[in-house]
Amino acid sequence: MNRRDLIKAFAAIAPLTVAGRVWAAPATDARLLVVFLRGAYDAANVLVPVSSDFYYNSRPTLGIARPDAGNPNGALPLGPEWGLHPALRDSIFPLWGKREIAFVPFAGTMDDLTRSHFETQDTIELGQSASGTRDYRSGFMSRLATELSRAKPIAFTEQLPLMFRGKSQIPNIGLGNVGKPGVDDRQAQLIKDMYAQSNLAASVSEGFRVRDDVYRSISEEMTAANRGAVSPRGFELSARRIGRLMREQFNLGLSTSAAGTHTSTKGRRQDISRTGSANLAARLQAFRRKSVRRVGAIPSSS
Amino acid sequence: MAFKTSDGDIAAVLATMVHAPEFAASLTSGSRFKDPVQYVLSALRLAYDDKIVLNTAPVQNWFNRLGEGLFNHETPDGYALTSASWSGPGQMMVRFEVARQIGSGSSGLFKPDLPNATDQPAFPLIQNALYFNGLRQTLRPTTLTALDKAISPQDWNTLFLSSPEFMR
Repeated sequence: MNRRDLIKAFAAIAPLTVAGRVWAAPATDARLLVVFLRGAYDAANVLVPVSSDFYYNSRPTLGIARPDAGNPNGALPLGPEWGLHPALRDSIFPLWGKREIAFVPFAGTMDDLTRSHFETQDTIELGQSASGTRDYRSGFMSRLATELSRAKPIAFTEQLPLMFRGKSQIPNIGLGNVGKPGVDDRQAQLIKDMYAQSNLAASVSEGFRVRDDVYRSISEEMTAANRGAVSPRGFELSARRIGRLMREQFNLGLSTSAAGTHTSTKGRRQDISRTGSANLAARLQAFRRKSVRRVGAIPSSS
Repeated sequence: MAFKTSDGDIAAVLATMVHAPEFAASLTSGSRFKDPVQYVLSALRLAYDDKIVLNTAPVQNWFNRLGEGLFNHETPDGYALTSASWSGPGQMMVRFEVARQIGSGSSGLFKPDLPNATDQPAFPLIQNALYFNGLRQTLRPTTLTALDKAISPQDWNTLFLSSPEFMR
């Protein structure tokens, strides 16, 4: 059974499956948002294989200790096999208790032994086997958008990421600095008129529509902020914007952010996973408020 | 085919490729959608003719915004050659914004990247001899109608650089 058949099969048995809520677009308010945390972090120290002697033999000093109620630096228990880094105690771990998060170790990297986070990133984004030739114009989100009948895809990024490259044309919009568009309404109308007869007509009118919708949605938020509401910044800000746009206009979204950087010391790394996870937790928070049901996060790792 | 029959003779392979009708077709002006680098450079050459740009930072910034920054490609296959890779909805929007920036003023292109440098006077002049003697005749009626509604030279430039004809 190949991946396509699998997706179709999911769609067919939609009412019975949890995942089916995502695949069965009609008549539900299902949304799928993929947050791709770019950059390197030590996967084995975030999701710790606490049952593995090999792990503790390989990392006599850097390893995270097995869960132990008396040790604040020990892993947080997720089950008999896995633990979570203690830095995630206040951000991600509570979500586990509430059954709002799931971990899928090794997703998309089964045959990737490069140990390069650049290559691993590509492997995950392409969703193709690491061995053999790969089509660099076909990301997994793009293929998903083609398979789903009522997908309204969007990439919340300045440029179209590898994941969304492919046959279908996916709009993208960076949310970091959405300002009033320089091309005004009058010019936009004239430009649309010029393209009305051309093969780019759909792309151009879709582009203006998305641009205007996003700007309208965000300017409402800015108006609210000017009336005295606390104005969020950075990740929190883009998380709220994404939450709002996913609720109102799109059902298949992609957002990316940096999870960490190369560091060698345990202390630094701890800080980094804390920032990355606070970022993710903020997003989850925002989506929950906006009644977006499911969020998938894919950390790339090396 | 040529590769196989000639046992990998590069001259023979190239001769076959260069004489193929597909190659001739690809050289016809207007057959392909410009990629960002082609787009920005063609706009600047049209706007400033032989005036030498003193600061390339704005140019690099446009390449980056349009997604074809120098040495910025993530995967080893290099930037896409197909039109569809550059004409998505989000990409078209950025292109119109860049058209507006190029069309509205000199954008710092003539301010050398030196302390206390002054901006040299310059303005994008697109309604030039090349336009009246050649480009205008290639425009479709819809484009001409839109250009007639321009309310200033800057506006006219923005619309012309955003037109479907200028994308090819």
